Amino acid sequence: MNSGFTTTGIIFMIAAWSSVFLVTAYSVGKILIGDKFKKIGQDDIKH
Amino acid sequence: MEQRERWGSKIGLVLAMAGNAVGLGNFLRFPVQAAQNGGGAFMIPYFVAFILLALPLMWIEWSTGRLGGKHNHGSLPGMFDVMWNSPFAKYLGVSGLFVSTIVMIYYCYIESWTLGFAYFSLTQEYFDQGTISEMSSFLKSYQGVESGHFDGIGTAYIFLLITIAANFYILYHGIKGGVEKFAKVAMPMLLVFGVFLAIYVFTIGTPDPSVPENSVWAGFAFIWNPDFSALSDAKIWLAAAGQVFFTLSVGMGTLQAYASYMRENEDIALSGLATASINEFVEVILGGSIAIPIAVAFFGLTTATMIAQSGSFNLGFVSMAVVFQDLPFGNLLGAVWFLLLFFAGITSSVAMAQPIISFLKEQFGFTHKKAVIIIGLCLFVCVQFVVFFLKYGFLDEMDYWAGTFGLVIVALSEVVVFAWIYGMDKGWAEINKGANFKVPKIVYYVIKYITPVYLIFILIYWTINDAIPILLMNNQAPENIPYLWGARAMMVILYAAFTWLVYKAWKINGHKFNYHKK
Repeated sequence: MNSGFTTTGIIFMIAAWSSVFLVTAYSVGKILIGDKFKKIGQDDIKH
Repeated sequence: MEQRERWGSKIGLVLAMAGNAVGLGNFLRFPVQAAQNGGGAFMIPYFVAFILLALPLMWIEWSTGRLGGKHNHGSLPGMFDVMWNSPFAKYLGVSGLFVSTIVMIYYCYIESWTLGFAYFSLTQEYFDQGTISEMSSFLKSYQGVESGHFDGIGTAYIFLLITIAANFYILYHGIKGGVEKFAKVAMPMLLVFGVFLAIYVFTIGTPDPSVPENSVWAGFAFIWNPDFSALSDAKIWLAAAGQVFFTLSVGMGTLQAYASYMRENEDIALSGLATASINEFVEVILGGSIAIPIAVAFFGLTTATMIAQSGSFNLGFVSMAVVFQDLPFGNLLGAVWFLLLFFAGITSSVAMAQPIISFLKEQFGFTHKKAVIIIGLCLFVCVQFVVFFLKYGFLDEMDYWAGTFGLVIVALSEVVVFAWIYGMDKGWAEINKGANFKVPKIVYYVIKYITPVYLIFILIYWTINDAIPILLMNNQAPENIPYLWGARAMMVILYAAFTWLVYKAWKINGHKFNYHKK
């Protein structure tokens, strides 16, 4: 394959993608879990 | 006065905020900026600017908005008035109403092109325009810039009307029933479309095996191979700062308007981080994986560079449309791409109307529906100039003064008011109130010292290099000059009108604003 993609370029791309993905997964995941617990808590109060 | 609305759920708020931040720039501007400014090396100043500039501004805007909302202010004049006990504060906040309204006027028109092109993809309207120059003429003819495929701008006008109607339909139903409900559908769809297209791009490989150097991997190499010599160039650092600025929609007053509908002790630390990271996911991972790799695979590096440099719209509207004609199910793929852009656009444009709608409701006692109808009619009148004078640079003039320079002015105002006038200790407490995530203490010092200095540096550089030549209309065609003055006149009139409205509002309601009384 003659793409001209260098090892450093691939490392940069993987590093950028994985750091963005991890922070997104952490923050959005924590909010989704929080919303879920909040909803369960509200349901408990209603019951 | 109507009771202040609230967001229905945390995830709805985050999706609406992320929808506000994710816009056309994520898919069209980011890959071009990365490729033009050192490839992979661009990501170093990009992430530095993200941490030192964008993320602090994001937290400042959320805090400012939530604090303003506590005192029933959903726009910057009132928010600054809460934070700064000075008769000047509310007038400084006029810039927040001005920037969001001006950008909304022309952004709606650009957004309508994406809807039009989604329709043209499905109906294969442009499928006989097989070259870059033919497709470029098709776009210009659609915009009314030159004659050709379309007989006048009637078609573009119909899509503009549909776009305005869609925007104001969402706004008419309020924060919870309109904006939040729409964001919960549009943002997941945008992500699904984006992920689908990005995965599809990986399967394209080398479209013409006889030209192996034209491949999607060469496109990724173009964006990501680092040129470390670029790091010593101040322009690259400023380009990166500019990109993170545009991409997060900071400096417009829109994030503050959305945040003003939060509850007093609702978390902003984690929600702000989630919003920023969703935006980065869409920009760095999805935005960098579609338009440029496809253009390089089908046209080669040299032509792709030329297309990218000839304007962001050409990459999205011209080269992509040419490629779709060569792909199986190209009409469906084209529709997915342009609908993706439409969703990115509309989730941002509905946010742009929010500050002025909140202002009219809170300061003049308008009902929500009355405020939305008035703003809709004003937008409809103002956008006429953008549509009919597009070829004379009317839109570009508005984009520069409000959508570029204005953002930095608003951002600098808010960081100075937040960190230096309201006080960093109180500001820090505001950021951490109800926090579900511990913001590192270093951010305190970044907000107080580094972010304002960074913004001052950008402002000085842009003033010298761009603002003065643009103000003097250097290199402008003589036939454009009256229209550019017209654009400036419209902006000055709107700014003066907003200032007068703020003056009137405080004359009527000023005695009720007792937050500075002990």
